[in-house]
Amino acid sequence: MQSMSIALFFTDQEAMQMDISYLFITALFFVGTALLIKACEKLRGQS
Amino acid sequence: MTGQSFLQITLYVVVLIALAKPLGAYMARIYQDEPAGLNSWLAGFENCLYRWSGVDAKQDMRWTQYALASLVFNLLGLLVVYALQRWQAFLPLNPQKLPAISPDSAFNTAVSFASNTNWQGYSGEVTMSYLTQMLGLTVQNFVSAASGMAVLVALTRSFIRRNSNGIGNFWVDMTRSTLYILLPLSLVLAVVLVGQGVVQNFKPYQTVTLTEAVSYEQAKLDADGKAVTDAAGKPVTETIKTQEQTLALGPAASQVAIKQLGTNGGGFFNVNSAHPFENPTPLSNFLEMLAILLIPAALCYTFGVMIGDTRQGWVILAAMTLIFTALVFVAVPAEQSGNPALTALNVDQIASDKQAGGNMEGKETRFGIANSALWAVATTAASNGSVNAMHDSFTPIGGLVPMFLMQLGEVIYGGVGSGLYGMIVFAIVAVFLAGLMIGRTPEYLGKKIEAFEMKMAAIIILVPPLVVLGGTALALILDVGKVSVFNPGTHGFSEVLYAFSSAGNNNGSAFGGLSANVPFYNLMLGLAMLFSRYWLMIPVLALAGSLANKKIVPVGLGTLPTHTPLFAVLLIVTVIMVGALTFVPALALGPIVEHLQMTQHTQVQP
Repeated sequence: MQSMSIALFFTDQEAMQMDISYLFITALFFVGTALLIKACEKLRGQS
Repeated sequence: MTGQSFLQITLYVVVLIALAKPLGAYMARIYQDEPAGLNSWLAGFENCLYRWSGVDAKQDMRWTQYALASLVFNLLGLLVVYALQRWQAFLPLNPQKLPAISPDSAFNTAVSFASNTNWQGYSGEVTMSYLTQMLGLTVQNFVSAASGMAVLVALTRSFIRRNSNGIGNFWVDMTRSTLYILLPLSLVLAVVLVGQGVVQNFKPYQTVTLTEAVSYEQAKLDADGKAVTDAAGKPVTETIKTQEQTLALGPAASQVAIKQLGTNGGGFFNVNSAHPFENPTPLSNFLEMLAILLIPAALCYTFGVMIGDTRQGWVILAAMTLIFTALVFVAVPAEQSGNPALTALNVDQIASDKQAGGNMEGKETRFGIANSALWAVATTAASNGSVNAMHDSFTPIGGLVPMFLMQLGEVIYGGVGSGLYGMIVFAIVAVFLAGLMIGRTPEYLGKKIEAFEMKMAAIIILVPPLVVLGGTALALILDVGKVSVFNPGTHGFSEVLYAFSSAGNNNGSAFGGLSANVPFYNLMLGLAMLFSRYWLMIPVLALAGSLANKKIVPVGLGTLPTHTPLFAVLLIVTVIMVGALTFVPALALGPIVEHLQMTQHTQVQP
């Protein structure tokens, strides 16, 4: 994993791709959770 | 079980319950903005914090605003911890010159600490710089715990309010939880722990000469640093003889204090509270164990005070304590009775003045059977996850107890805030079930329980089993999941089930044995932690929003009393039944089969 030690400084292509992948997964999850808030609010309005 | 064990357990439970009332009353005053000493002295500082951060402390947030504030705050914390780990090689306070953490491990750890799980796939002393430990992990220990407490306070408030759109202010609830509760308690505990010998410094690791040479086996590496394997593909080991040992140091006491009080559990060192620099004495062990359950137990009383009926809080605390005590008296005797296969080989496992007896594999001789098993039950009853013994080496039944406690949803005391809000959801389910059985309109604390509340309760109860059982199944189907299991068979199944039970209920303890610091498990367990934290927190806040908006129904003939011993029994039955119906089939494939194999003196075959 030494080759990834300079990731986020965008000098290691492989590490940079992995960083972006994990940050994308995180962003996706939080967007999904924000949609869950919206869905719960909609459900509350219906009941 | 020995008389000494019985006395230690009794002392622990008595002290815990005795402290619940004063601390609970103090916390209630903090949340109700009544003078409680500290909040009078530090009110100016608290207001400065709001002013500097642009927070309008008087704003009463709708549940959606409260949830979004909580989400954004947690996301930012997660990103900071991720960046600190990836950049630590270039940052200060890294005397060991530790390199950056790999992206998958950094993701897992960032999620783990932001979600108050504190699952650790890494070894602290050989992975994390002092700066990462302090600024990343310790800060998250405080704020993730405070987030859970804030959500609980919002839910509690919703029972008092009528026809209200607001449930409070997330920033105020979180600031007060941190400033007046977590910080002072942690400061006191950290100083006491330093007095007991827990290390707290910034020194580089020290190399010392041993009084006698030690030999150990380690994997042989080739010139490229890769493990050498034989013709069968098994790793080749070599014997190393040394007369030196490197002692890891660092600012441990400050992290240990909040890791226990905030039900975080992430150890400063790899072996967590089994390390003599984290937990050196019987007194430090008792205090750390007490700190695990102290705030979750006290919050029950806080809940009672805030809703204006302390009996309601006592009933919930009684239900939690009864389940906890019953399971302690399953785990401790299971460990004390030892392994019958060893008894058949004439191994002495009887407790005496010379030995603790029982199953001492994976346990510290300093702590013995009772304090190891009691810790295991406490740490999994709360969503703490710190360990002072290796759960992988427990007897099958001794290992089943911690696993089952996590699978109950971390509501037996549970995490700070999260445990009680989970238990309140079970109370809502209990009144609904009682309503169905006897034809009464379901009401809880004067609020009518209707379709929306039950839908939210269903999400809260169903998400963790889905994550745990689905994750375990996927890991055992895929080769990439099975390759990390070194104990194939029932024990290997237990290791995977335990890992997902821990991550999927935000506990964070590890059974051990499973090689989890690999991209597959780092990602899967990371996702499990995210879903089980935030996809429960959101429905809880939605529930709070709905309840706050309802009027308070006066107590009538059709109201089910929820402050009676009968309701405590109903609550216990609801929690146990939901947990048992969901997880007993999976437990039967792991620890139950292993127990049957052990009692028949048969060797567990791979």
